Order: sequence, then C-alpha cells, then structure tokens
Amino acid sequence: MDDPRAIATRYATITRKMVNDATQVAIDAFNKINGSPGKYKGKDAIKSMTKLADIAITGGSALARIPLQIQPDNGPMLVADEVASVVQRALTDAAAVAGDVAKEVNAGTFKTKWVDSAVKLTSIAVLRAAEAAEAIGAGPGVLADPMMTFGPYPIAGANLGDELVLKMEKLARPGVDENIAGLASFTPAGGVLKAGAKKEFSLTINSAGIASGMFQADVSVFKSGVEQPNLAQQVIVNL
Amino acid sequence: MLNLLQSQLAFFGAIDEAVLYAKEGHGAKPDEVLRTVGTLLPGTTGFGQAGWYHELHDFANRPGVRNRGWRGPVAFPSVEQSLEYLQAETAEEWMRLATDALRAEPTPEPTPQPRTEPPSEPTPKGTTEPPPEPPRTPAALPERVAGSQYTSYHDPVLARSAYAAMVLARIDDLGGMPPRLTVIPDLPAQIMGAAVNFWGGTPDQFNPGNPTSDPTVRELLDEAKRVESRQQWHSFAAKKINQQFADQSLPCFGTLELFGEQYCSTLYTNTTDDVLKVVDIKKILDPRNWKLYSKFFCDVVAQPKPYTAHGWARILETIGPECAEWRMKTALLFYYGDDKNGGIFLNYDLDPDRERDSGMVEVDNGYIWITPLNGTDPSKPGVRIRTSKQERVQGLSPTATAALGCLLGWGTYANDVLSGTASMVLSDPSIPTQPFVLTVLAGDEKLSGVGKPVRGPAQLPPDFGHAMGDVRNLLTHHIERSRKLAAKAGERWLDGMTRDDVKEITKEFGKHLEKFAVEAYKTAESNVKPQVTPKKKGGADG
Repeated sequence: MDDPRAIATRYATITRKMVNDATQVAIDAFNKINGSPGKYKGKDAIKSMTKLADIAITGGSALARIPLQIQPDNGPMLVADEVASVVQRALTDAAAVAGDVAKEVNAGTFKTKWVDSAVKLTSIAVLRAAEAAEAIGAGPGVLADPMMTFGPYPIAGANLGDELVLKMEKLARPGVDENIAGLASFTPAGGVLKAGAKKEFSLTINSAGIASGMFQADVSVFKSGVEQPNLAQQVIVNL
Repeated sequence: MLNLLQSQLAFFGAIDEAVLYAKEGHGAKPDEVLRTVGTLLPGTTGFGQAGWYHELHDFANRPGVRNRGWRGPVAFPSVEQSLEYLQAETAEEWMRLATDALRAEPTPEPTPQPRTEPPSEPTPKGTTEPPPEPPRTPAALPERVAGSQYTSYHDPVLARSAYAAMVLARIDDLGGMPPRLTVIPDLPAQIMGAAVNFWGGTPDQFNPGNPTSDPTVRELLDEAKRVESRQQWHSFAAKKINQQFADQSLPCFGTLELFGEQYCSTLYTNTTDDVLKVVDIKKILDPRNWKLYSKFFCDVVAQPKPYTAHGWARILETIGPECAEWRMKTALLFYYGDDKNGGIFLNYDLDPDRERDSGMVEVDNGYIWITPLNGTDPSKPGVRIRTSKQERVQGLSPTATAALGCLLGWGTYANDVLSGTASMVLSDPSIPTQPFVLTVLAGDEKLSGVGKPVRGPAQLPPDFGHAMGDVRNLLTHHIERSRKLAAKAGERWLDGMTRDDVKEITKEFGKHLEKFAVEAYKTAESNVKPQVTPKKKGGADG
C-alpha cells in the first residue's frame, strides 16, 4: 500500500487541475461575453458546459482510478483503462446531443425537442454505465459473434413429396452430461421440410455461454406426426 | 533465459512498446502507428490492451506461475539478446548464449535431487511439498523439444518473428520507433533476414552485417512499407516465399466470448496442408506427444489415475516458453473421437479434479479437429486442421491471454503439427509416440467447464467490486446532474440569456464539480480504507 500522504497528493493534484481547467472555461466564456457583447450564443454556452462536463468526467474518473493504481496487480488497471474509455465515449455521445441541441436552438425549434434531448442524455448515462459495468466484469476485448451456422445436411432416403418435421433431440459433446438442443434452430424455419421442397436442413446455433468443442446433434424426423427412425440424422458440429 | 519462443515474444513486445510510445503522442505519426498496428495485430492497441507484454511479464512472476525453485524475479530477454539468439547459427551458439544469459540471472536454489521435469505444484489436498527444480545446466536449456530433435526448418516461431519484423518495419517507416529501439541498427531487417533464411533452411544466405543483401528479405521489407492489412501481407508472403510460410506467419488473435458467467478469450484457427494426411497426424495427435514437436508444451502426461470413471483421459499439461522459470499446469480431460467422415478430433475441458494443477486457469475447453482436405479418405494427402480454445486465466487480461495463446502456443498447434520438427518425429520410428485411441465411454461426464481457482480467490484489490460499482454510480449521477443543468441552461436561453445567467450557470457547474470531486474522493477513500464496523451499544464489547 502506498503512503497515504502520497495518495492524498495525487487526489489534490487531480482536483486542482479540474478546478483550474473549469476556471479557464469560465474565463474564456466571460471574455467572449465582455469582449464582443451579443456574440455569446446558446451554442457557445452549451460548448462551455460540454467542456466543463469533459473536465469533470475525465477528472472524476482519474480520481476514481487512484485506489486501483495503488494496488500491486496490473490487471485491474487495465480494466480501469477500459472503463475510462467507456466514459470518454459517453462524453462524446453527450457532446453530440449537445451539438444537436445547439442546432435546434439556432433554428428556433428547440423547445419542443428538449424532452427528446433529455431522454437521449439519460439513455446515454444508463447505457454507458451498463457498458462500464460489463467492462469491469470482462476486461477489454472484442466480443465474438456467437451465432454459428452449419449445413446443409441432406436427408438420404427421404421422399421429395413428403412433408417432414425435424426435432433436435440432443446437442451435446460426446460423453458429456449436457444438452443444449434449445440453443439450435433449423432452416427451413421450425424444421418443417414441405412436400416438394428439397429434403435438407441447416442448423443455426447460438454458442454464447457454452463450452467450445465438437458437438453431436441427434435429429429425429417425423412424417404425419410419426417418427421415422430410418431417417434420423446425426451430425457433428464444431462450436 | 533465452530461447526462440521468448525471443519471438520479445519482438512482439517491442511492437507493444512502440504502441505505448505512440499512445503517449510520441513519434512522427502516432495516430497512424496505432491505426496500422491495430489492423495488423487486432486487439492490441486499445485501452486496456496496449501494455500486454508488461502484463505478461508480471504474470510470469506471480506466485503459482513463477517456478518456486527460481530465486529472484523472472526476467524476459531484451530485444538485443533476443536478436542475437535468433541469429545464432548453430546449436552450440544457442547453448552458449543461453548459458551466458543463465549466468546473468539469479542463482537457483540448491538441488538435492536432479529431476527430468519441473516439479508439480502441491496437490489441492496439500499433501506434498514439491521437489526443487532440475539443475540449471546447459543440458536443461530448451531449444529443443522433449525426446526428439529440433530443426529450425519450417519452424512457425520463425515465421511469426518475420511478421513481427514486418510490423516493426512499418512502425519504423512511420517514424514511430521508441528511442530505445532505434539504437539497434536495422532491427526489422535483422529479424526478417534471420527468420526467413532459417525458416527456409538457408542460414548461409543470411548476412548479419548486411541483412538486406538477400533479395527476398529486401523485397519483403519494401513491401512492409505498403502493407495495410493482414491479408495483403499474407498474399505477398505466399508469393515471395510460399503458402506455408504465409500461413504460419500470421499470429491468431483472440475474441471475447461469454462462457457461463465469465468472459474468456477464444482462439480459433483453421489451417490446411496439401501433403500431410489425417493418418499421419493421428500418429502424433495424442496430447502426450505434443511436447515432441511444440516448444510451448514443456510436459503433457497422464495423471496417476489416467481415466475418469466414464472413460475420459486425465492429462496434466505444463506450458510455458521457459518452464524452469515460469509455467502453468492445468489438469484437463480429453475425449478422443471421430466424425464418421474420415476426420478425428479431440475434445477437452477442465478436469473437475484439479490434481497437481497450478490453479490459475478458470476456463479451458475446446477442440482440435483434423479432417481430410478433400473427400473422406484419411489416407489421402491433404488435411484441414481446425482448433478452438476458450481460455480464461485468473487475473490475466484477454489481450495478454491471447498473446500467451497466439504467440507462444495453443493457437499455434496446427502450425506446430505441420512443422519440420513434427515431420522428423513422424519419420523417425525410434522416437516413441503415444497412439490415438478412440475413447470408449461408460457414461456421461459431468463437466461444468468452469474451474474454480484452487489456490484462493482472484487477486483483485480489496473491495474492487465495490470500487467499480461506486465509480459507475458517481458517473451516472454526474451525467444526470449535467443533464439537469443543461436543461436549466436551455430554459434560460429560451428566455433570453444574460451575462448573469452565464455566471450563475457556471457557478452552479462549479458547485457540482466540487461536490463531484468531494464525493469521488470520499468514495475512493472508503474503498481503500478498511471498513470499521461500529460496535453495538449494549453488546458484549461495550
């Protein structure tokens, strides 16, 4: 653990910077107002506020990172970096809303849109907070697409004129007590192979949250509600 | 200690150093450097991604990873040392350099009994103290694979080193080399020249004094200045050298997947070869053979009780580029299967009984699937090798985990099995190998797939979860307050804003700012200070 005085100094440094930066924004605004009366528009005011929000959020997250920085393990710092980047994105979004507001202000249509803007800002706060929470749990990374598609698999021995209905009985790694059949869906939809249509199917499997491995799919085939064991399919897929 | 895997890692570490340098705004075109590296090595330049090399170094020194027989910290080799090692032309020279590096490192503890393999971690039951490390003599130095011979010919580590050289050349061209690396003359050329020529079995064509004297090396480096994508490099390398070199040179990269309630790195690879057959690879696919041709696997052995009650093979895997210094042991279960279409596969997952395990891995599952390239006849030339691995290591970021997998092992399995060393194992009947025998099941195994650390909870700071939750709340509140303030500002403007209005709003902002800063301070303070539980009045203690 670091010396508490050193920690306090770090807090003081960041806070001082925040105050100084905020003061500068205010000074700039007043200079503009005093220097060119009437030139300071609503857009400028929003710009100033955005800058202040930037300072507060950046400085705030820097403050909040201090307890993480004093820990010996480097991992949490990386996560904190990711959280900081989420916050930065939140700010960018907020600035975009503010920019839109400024346009509306100048166009004279702002009043009716204000509620929309407020909702947008609130959503950003909620969404980004959720994103930050996810980053905390996950660490940084690129999320993979969990949807995987396999096939087509022809059903040998089936008559073209029959209507067949497929059912996924089991989807599991061989020798593992599991069944993720519920995560698979057929193409054609519902596993219905209409009379006259090609007797083949594809599988789409949502692999999110399951182990990677070679899975065996046991598919039973029904005709007029009666199971056709001779048409049953067993396919291997890699998830 | 020096070896090719660590040397290669050091070259990619140099790229990471250049990324950090660019992130600080240094160099002629820092944004361009970040964009380029982000394209050529995806997932290595963002927040929480850059700095992975340092993180891996810290990881190597963590208790449970750093070999307990190793005194002092584990030191990764410098770029200069790695370069010298890469350019060594003979096994004797490797040995000399590695021995020199060994002498410069801390002295090991005395070793009462020489052993042939690194010791096991204590069992979860904690019954035995592990024996000390093997004596650190040159004979224990690893530029080889256990029980077989090593050849640099078609070694994927060299092909990946060439890729690192290409990225470094690109960074250099953009004026982004950190000063520490610019002092090494012609660094990209020095790496590229040695890597390409040793990989191709033409070491005599490499001239360290003039590394670009080889026209192929010169052309690859010239092309590096124009490379904008991994595919572009792959096409050019395939044309200039060959398909295998191009395939091997591209390091895989990890993606993030949710497994159970944990995020983990997932590494996918898909490789083909026109010459080898499924039946060839079958001879060396059993995990216990991996150490014969892949330097990353220090040891892969059957557990004392080799099978589960339901027939899965119980295997202990020891991995690391230098296992005498740092390594991870993971207890795994393997299923040996066939796909009924001429292909064979291995499924694996964590062994619920983490016997002799380092306890660092929380998720480890996947497959290796070998299929005929055309048709279903496993005895015809041509194979496709597909691998997948979900991995989560306690306290290691996804980027560093991906580096561990893609630059050192796991993700490189397909390339290793197609290497010259693997060919030598296949063609030498005197090297004993374990056969691939299909698993005979006696029931279904219950695998949760999620391992619980056996050496205690994750090493996060105290109250980390609370701290991050507090950060989130503070930010949410702050944005909400900003929103209200912005609403007030909007209203005032609509009514006609005056100087006093601006003054008042900024003053109010100042107040919010102050409140926010104080709250942040108090929250942060409460998270690092141990919480004191107030005593109950009238209780036993007073």
